[in-house]
Amino acid sequence: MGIEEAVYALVIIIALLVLRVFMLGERLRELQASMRSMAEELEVVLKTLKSVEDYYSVQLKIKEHKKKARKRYIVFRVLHARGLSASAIEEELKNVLKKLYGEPFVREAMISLVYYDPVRGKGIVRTKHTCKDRVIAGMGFLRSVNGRKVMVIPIRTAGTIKKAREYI
Amino acid sequence: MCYTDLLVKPRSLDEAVYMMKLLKKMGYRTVGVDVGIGSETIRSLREKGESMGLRVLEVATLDTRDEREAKKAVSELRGGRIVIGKARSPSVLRFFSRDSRVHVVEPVPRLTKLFDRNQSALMKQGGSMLGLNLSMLLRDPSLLPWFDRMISFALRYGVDLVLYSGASSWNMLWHPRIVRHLLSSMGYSGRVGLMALSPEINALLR
Repeated sequence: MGIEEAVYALVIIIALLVLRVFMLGERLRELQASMRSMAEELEVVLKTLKSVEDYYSVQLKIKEHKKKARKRYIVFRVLHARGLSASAIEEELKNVLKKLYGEPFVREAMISLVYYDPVRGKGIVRTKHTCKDRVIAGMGFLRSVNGRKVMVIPIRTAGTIKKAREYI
Repeated sequence: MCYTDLLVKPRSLDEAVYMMKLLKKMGYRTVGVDVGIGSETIRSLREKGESMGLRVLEVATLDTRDEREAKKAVSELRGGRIVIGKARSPSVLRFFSRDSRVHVVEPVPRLTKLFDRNQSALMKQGGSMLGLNLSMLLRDPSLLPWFDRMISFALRYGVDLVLYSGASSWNMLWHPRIVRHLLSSMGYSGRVGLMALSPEINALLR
């Protein structure tokens, strides 16, 4: 093989290499473009997923909020309560709870004296299940009604008024 | 569970007897009577308590602002009594905490910032308990967050906690059920409250 042929072969190889590099560059550019479009698409998918998640979390919160508040009936006994009216005790209990936990709590707890026996000094207070602990704690702070010394002792908590009446 | 009301301060013998009857009904087995009522009265209360099935203890409360005064008061103490030290200044708080003759340290809201890891170490060194007087809450319900902070301190650092009524009349006593729900409302287990009402008296008196 002469030098001339060798030069031709080398030129051809170089030309083929250049062509190959050019083709690879083109391919890379295409790949880059497709990756970019894929990333954009993924971004759109992520945004959609996030909005779906937000939607479901909001729905869950609404569901929790709408969940029916369960009632609790707290049976209690007032020591030295002879002569005290049900309304006076209810009023005083609400005042004590207002002082302790504030007005919004009293409104939220929906406290109501559903039954009171002035002779035995026993009664039933209805409240929401979430507020039971604080209402019972509040009973501990009820130490006088209309200037008379009293003491409230919680006896039992029930889920229905029928059951609560059994404990009286 | 055997509950203990570590401190009641009745004004008269009749009041004390009525309080003891109520405490017995509420499930208490031990009551600490302030020595201020007189040793004769405490003796008769002890006899009455025995017939009721209630153990009556003598409790001395030290209420001082000055460390020197506190040291003098502690040195004059007689044995066989539960000693509650009401600390009104940082130096007195430290002294009461590390002195093994003072069984219970009662803090005041002004010293809240001092209750940290070092304070807990001092209390453990002296073997003293953190005592919270519930009558303070009756006088000022706005102290509820402070109580919460003190209870959280005791639980975090493993300091023994004791709750007592400090009642001077029968309507200031606390039913264990109410104490349980009070602590539940603060976010603690109700059991913490009941445990705080049943301190190990024999270990204290030893």
